[in-house]
Amino acid sequence: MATIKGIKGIKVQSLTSDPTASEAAGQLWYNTTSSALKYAIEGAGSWASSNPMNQGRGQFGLTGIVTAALAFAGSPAQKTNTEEYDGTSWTNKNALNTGVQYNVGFGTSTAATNVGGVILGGNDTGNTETWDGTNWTTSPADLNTARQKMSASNQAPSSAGIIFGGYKQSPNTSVNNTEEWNGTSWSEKSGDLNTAREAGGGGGTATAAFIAGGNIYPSSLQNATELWDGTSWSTSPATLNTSRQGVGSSGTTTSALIYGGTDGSPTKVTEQWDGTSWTEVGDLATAAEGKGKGCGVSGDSALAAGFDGSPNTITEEWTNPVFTIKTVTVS
Amino acid sequence: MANTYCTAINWGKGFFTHSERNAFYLEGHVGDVWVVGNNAAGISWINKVSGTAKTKAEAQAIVDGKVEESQAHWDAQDADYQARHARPEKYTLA
Repeated sequence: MATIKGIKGIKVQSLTSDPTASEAAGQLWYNTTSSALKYAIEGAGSWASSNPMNQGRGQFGLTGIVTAALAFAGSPAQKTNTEEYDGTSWTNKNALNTGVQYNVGFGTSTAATNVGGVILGGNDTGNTETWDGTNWTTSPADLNTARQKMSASNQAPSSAGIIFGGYKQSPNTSVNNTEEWNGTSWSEKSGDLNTAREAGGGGGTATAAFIAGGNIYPSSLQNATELWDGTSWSTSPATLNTSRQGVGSSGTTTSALIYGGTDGSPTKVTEQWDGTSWTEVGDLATAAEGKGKGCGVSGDSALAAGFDGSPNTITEEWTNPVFTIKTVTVS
Repeated sequence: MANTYCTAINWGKGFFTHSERNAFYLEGHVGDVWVVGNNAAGISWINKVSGTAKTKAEAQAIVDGKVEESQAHWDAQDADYQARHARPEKYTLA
């Protein structure tokens, strides 16, 4: 019988337990405990299920990273609920002072800023609350333009972020302006979005942010991407493959992910940004719009939670690439 | 047949993994209905989650019923809600 050593001149290593899949990609070994020949491969990114939220909701603020995320507020009925995700489970935390939906936020699970949205009664708000890891405190400073459905620099620290775009009532219109938070007050930046829009995906920081997709009121789905350099917005020649709004998003101007949303009906389409173009990658398992947006530092790591519909507690985690250990079957 | 159908309750972490998503087609729907790629990995997953096998017609009927419930909910809402949310529509499973 031929042997690996005989064919290749090398021996297959014997291990008592499998190594970590990511460290073993491309390697072959013999597991002496399970008496199995194994190898590890690097595969495409994909979404996996995680434990559900405690409070079902959609259209809420979500920030942080996949192993330390914060979700706050949401619909229906202007929720005040706050939950923290540790990479496995959601835990209830102290509530916001004012219930709101269609809000956004930025920061981390221990220091975050929540802003804007729609309050009980249906009015737009510029209300701002800050999270210290335990409690929310209402800031005396409001947005200059009260609005809802805006996007945010989700990876910015809680003391230095921007929000952009959105929608406001009286009269109903999509918004193009950008406002910056310095930890104390909001100031309007001179650079406006080239395309006013609501419910787009966004991410990044106060000096390097992006927006993609969205809707121009009342009904014009967008696929355009714009990039913020700290001063002005420029329109990228690259567009989303699927025009849509109400998307989830993660990442920065050089590596980002847009997922879900609605293109007339809820979609599970996921697209990844490499700083130059959008590429369609593995779908969510469940089509959904109105997920919380903003958790994840890049296009390789994201959290999709909630749904502005039913079921609305579902959570999925995105990882790219996916490393898998396989067993060699010999017949 | 490209896909097979089952109902199963999503228990959260580990219900479907990254590696499983790369091994077979999987699509979740209302009513705990799952459209599953009809290959060895897909069948193995149905067994893992103790899925209850359904024909496509049975799965479609469950989804249709849930959509009808959502439509009734939407119809009962005020104009503000209806302006913010599209009325759910029936669709055909893959």
